[in-house]
Amino acid sequence: MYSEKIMEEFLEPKNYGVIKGASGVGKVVSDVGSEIVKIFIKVEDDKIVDCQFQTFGGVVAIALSSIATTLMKDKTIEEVKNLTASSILEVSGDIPDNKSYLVGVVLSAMQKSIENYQNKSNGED
Amino acid sequence: MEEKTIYLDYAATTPISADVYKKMLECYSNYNGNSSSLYKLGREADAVLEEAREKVAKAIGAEPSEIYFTSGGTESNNWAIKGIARANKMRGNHIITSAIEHPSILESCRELEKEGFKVTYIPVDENGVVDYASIIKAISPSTILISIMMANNEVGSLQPIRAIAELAKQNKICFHTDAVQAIGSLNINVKELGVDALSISAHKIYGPKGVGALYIKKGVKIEKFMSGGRQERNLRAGTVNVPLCAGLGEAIEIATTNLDEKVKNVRIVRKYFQKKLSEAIHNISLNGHPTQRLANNCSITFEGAESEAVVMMLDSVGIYASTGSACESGSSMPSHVLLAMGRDIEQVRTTVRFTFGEEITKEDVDIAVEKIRKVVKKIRSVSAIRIYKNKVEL
Repeated sequence: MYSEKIMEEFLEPKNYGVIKGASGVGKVVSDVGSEIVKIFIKVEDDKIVDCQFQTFGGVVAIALSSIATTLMKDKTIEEVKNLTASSILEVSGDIPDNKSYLVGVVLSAMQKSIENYQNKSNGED
Repeated sequence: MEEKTIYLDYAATTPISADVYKKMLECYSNYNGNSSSLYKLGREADAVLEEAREKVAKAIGAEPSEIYFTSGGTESNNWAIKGIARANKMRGNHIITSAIEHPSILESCRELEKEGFKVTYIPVDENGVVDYASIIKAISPSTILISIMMANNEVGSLQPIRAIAELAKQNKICFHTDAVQAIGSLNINVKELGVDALSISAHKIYGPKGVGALYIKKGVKIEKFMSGGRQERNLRAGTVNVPLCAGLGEAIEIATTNLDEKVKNVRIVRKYFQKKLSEAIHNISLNGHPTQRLANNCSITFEGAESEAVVMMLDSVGIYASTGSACESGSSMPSHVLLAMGRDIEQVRTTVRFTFGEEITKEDVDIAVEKIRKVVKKIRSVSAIRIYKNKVEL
């Protein structure tokens, strides 16, 4: 039903938890399955030095959150902005059709965490 | 040493009992004739088939001539709903059912709506019990069929079948009940209950998959389910699968023998599970009626812990349970039963069904509860919904 990679990331998720005093936080609630994905980032010198998630959702939501946060770590803000659905799918392997919306949910939580950081840096938050 | 697996999904299906298996093997070895054939081989197979029919009839207090073999609960429900509605459409076009029925009932009703039938879906209370007063209000001169399940498959709540049957009788309306989950848990006598049609499945009572039965009271008008030969009193064509029917006969006979004692034991173990679970894990609640419920059903909401995640992580440690019902798993649709009970989407998404069988012991429960505790703790630690004792934070 799920790829080996999805099951592996789900059973042993990486980077779950909160970052106190995070540089940016992105939260998305899915309209489709009411999953909640929250991504915290800590940025130093324009680079993501830490990235954590909290996800209310099933196997795929948790696995993709783990994959996304791993992808974000040690990347510059620009590099993270360039991450796409394909970047996530390259790691996760196939996802059942009825769960594919979760790639978008996780991706938008990633981008929101960046926006939140940039808004804060620009003094808009 | 390999980890012990504990199966807690008996409402999805049960294993086949050794006696049922033996009976079926005997049929496959010795009774391969077509039960409709006139010669000895056929007559022998027919004798086995009729013996099975008698056993099914006896188990529910019916006459053998009122029992029709089907391919399972879904077929029995499809046939009852569509067959009775279509055969009685000269009398009216209104059907009453409930919001928490099995999909095979609900989808059959939707199909009939497309043909012009009107269907009223009776709501349920927070315990998952149909609102009797709403049924009274819904009855009209054009009502020809009421179908309410005997016990709900997801939350185990028992429905007031006797009262509804009486109401239907007073109003000369045909009454069908889906007893798939109730057989083997409740003493059922169709004459005492006053039902006109009743659905049965074998694989919920230690019998084989692919076989069930429909009780149709003598005199009830119903359209045939399948056209072809004259099998099953000319209502359900097709060569009858004698070994499967024999398996059902055996299974239902065993299930209804010493039923009270077996149910009592299952109830003790299920209640022990509930107690242990509530001691081990905070912020959980039981769904369904607290007392008027199937002995084997325990539907639990674990606040903050998404149910698919819980079920799949439990699978990885050898505990088998389900989100909602097996019939709807795999879909992203939230449980229509829990929604009808007024649960919000988060409660629905955090509910796991554990159902028990005769083999489960208190020792199994102790092992299972400890594993469930660890899994729920892990899923909650990942969750974006933070759970503190008796407090939920989004």
